[in-house]
This record gives sequence, structure tokens and C-alpha cells, in this order.
Amino acid sequence: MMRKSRLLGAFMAVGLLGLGSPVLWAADAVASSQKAALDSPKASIETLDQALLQTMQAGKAAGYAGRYKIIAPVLAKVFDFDKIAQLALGSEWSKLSAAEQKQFVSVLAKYTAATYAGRFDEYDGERFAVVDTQELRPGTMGVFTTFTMKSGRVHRFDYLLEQSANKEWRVVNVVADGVSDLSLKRAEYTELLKSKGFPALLAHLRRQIQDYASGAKS
Amino acid sequence: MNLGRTAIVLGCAAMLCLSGCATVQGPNGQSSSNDPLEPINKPIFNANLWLFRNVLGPVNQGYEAVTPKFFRTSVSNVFANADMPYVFVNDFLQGRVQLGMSGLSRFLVNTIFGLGGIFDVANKLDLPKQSNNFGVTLGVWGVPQGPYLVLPFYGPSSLRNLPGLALAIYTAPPYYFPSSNAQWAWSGMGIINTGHVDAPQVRMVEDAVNPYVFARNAWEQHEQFLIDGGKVNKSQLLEGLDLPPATATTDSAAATP
Repeated sequence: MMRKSRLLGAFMAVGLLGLGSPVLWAADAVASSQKAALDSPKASIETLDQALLQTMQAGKAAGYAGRYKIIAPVLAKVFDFDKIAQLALGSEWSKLSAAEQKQFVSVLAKYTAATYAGRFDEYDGERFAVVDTQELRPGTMGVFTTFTMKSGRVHRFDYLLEQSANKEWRVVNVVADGVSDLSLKRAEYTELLKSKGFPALLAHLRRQIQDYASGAKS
Repeated sequence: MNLGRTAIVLGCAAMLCLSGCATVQGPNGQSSSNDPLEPINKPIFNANLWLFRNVLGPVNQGYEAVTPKFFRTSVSNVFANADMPYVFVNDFLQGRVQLGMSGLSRFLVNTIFGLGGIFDVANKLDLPKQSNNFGVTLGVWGVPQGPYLVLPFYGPSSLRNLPGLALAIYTAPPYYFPSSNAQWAWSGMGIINTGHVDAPQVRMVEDAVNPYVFARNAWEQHEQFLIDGGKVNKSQLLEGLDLPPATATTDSAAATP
């Protein structure tokens, strides 16, 4: 599989790119699988996990841009970035103008996709599994999953999902080995907002995105 | 303590330090209320990051350039195996007998059949590696964390975790090596391995909007996760969901969900 991807990657490099690119295959597969995939919390997480595996499998051969193309649309569908942005900024959220709020949501979504595309850049036999789902309160579910590495080391990824108005289940928080992404973001972002203001926060996130895109980070 | 033992101490300290850097935490985006020593911690934290960036990072780049992947994997397997006595001793001290037996079995299988841990045979027998430390053991028995600390060369820690440093040294097999040279060699290789294994996590810390706050919160949260037996309960998951009161305070305490 990897050899095939690398071969096709080489074809891409010499301008023979066609619809046979592994990136496009993967993107197609993800796009088709996500159509009916958010109707239960478990299905939403499985859609995300499938896209992550495809991103990893596309690997370095696909390049950052290729991996971004695979993962970004799925994250946009599965993650509720409006809610995440609101929760991450806490009481600072209401102090932003509507335009700033919209701008922050957009940058946060791009930053999240850039982070995933930058870091999930190789596949070495890892696998995901949903081990449990629990209703935490009406309209809010927890999905508990494991990420098993080739070394056998098992990591926990636990998700908090809320049901949107259109009945789709979307992620609002990820807790990795007990570390809450939302609480980290809230602590950091609110502090920066208070000390340096909204433009500094946006500038930081945009710089990170640029670093991932340029290959300065991986 | 002879030179070799000193090397072990420094080596272990450096390894633990950097792995601490990598695995930060703190429930609810915890605030400086648990960090009265921040004015001292912060410069040490920055110095540790500087050391990683300018010493261990370049060393790791060289290591990756001149060694094949299977070699690096074998080296990290050996060091992971050497950590196992510290892990399963703490499992037993916490009263988690099943985990302790699993850890002990993993150590014996990899030491005997994995040629001293070079090959991770235990993984195929469903005996995965766990994380543990003496600070977690004290936490399980109700000892409060105490002030958050950042130790030179070591990274995030707390008052509760300090006694664990000694236990980590005495349960590490190299402490019992008869030769000082072997202990120095072990320590040197251990530092290189730590730089290799922890590089991705350290990069995550560096990427954060506020690396110090990120590292502290993540370390504290992860420590609590281990104390709770590797489980995230319902209230923890919901904790991040509700918006805080509209009134903002002046420090990161407002960040607590």
C-alpha cells in the first residue's frame, strides 16, 4: 500500500497526476462514508477515525496538502467548531464582535485541520476502537475509544459530543489520556486574549498554520 | 554515591524531566492557584526548553540520521523495559494487583524472551506498557499534589512527586550495574533515547500559545488521569462543556471551565 502510494506520489511529482492519486481516492472514500455517518455518536467518531487512518496511510507521499485535503472536510463535518470556539474562549467570547467571532471560528477550524494534517503523517499499524458510549445528559454523549500503537501501547481518546439541531452528533471536546483539549485551549487562549488581545491570538494560530503548511512543523 | 551512580541519577533525572515536559496536564485548565512557585518554575521551564531545542534536539537529529529505525526502536524498547520495575512496584503499592502482575509479567517476558527488552515480545501477549510513578501512588492514597514544580533537566513535577525520584533510581536495573562505565554508557544512551522518544511531545508544548500554561495543565490532568486508574469519568467529560460565569478574572483561573 505504502509502496503504491509512493509510486503514485512520484507520478504526481512529474506531472502525471490523475484521478488515480491515493489522496483523491482517500478523499473520495471519506466523502462517501461521511454522508450517512453522523446519525449516532459512535458513527461520528468512526467517521473521524476512518479519516485519520486514511490521512496516516496517505502519509508523507501525499504531502501536507494531500493530508489536509483528506482530513479538513471530515473535521468540518464532525467537529462543532462554533461551539468549541465559544467554549474555548469562555467569558471572553461575548466580548468579541460578531465578525471577530466568525473569524476566530474559521481560523480555529483551519488550525485544527493543519494540526491533524501535520502530525498524522505516517502509518505504522495503528488502530482505533470504540470501546463504549454513554449518555452523559440528554443530547450529550460520551464516546470512549482506544488508539493502539504498533508497540502495543494503548492511548485513550474520549470524546464529548452534542446533538445539533439537524440531529447530527458533533464533537465538542477530545480528552486524550485524561488531558482535555478544551480546557487546555481555554486556559491558553483566554490568558493570551487578556494579556495581548484578539489580534495576537489570531496571529499565533495563523503562524502555526503557516508553519505546518511550509513544513517548518511536522 | 560513586560517579556511576551519579550518572544514573542525572540520566534518570534528565529522562524523567523531558518526559515530564512531554506529558503535561491539569483538570479544568487549572490556574496558578496550584502554582505559587511560578516565578521560579517559569525560568527553569524556559531553560529546559532551551536545552531541548539547542542540545537534545540537534543530538536527536544526528541520531536519526545515522541509525536505522529498527535500531532506535530496539533502544527505546530496552529503556522502556528497564522502566518496568518502577511501574509495577507502584501498581502493587497502589493496590492494583492485576496491573502489577501484568507489568511484572511484561518485564519478565521481555527480559528473558525479548533479550533484555530489545524485542517487545510481551506486546504480542497482550501485556501493554503502562505509565505509573510514585506521585500517582501517593495520590491514590489521598496525598494532595502540593505546589506544582518544574525541575531543572526534569520538567513538570510536584511536591508529591519528589520522593518518586529516589524510588525511580533504586528500581532501575542500571543502578545495580557493577561497572561505572556501564552506568555512564547507559545514562548517555538514555538521554539520547529520551530526546528521540519525547521530541514530538516537546514540539507540541513549543507550539502552544503559552507553553508554560499548556505544560502545567496537561501534566496535572494526566497525573489525575493516572490516579483515577486511566479512566475519564462522566463528570470530567462534562466539566468542559458548561460556559464559565460571564465575569472574567485577571489570571488563568478564569480559564477553568
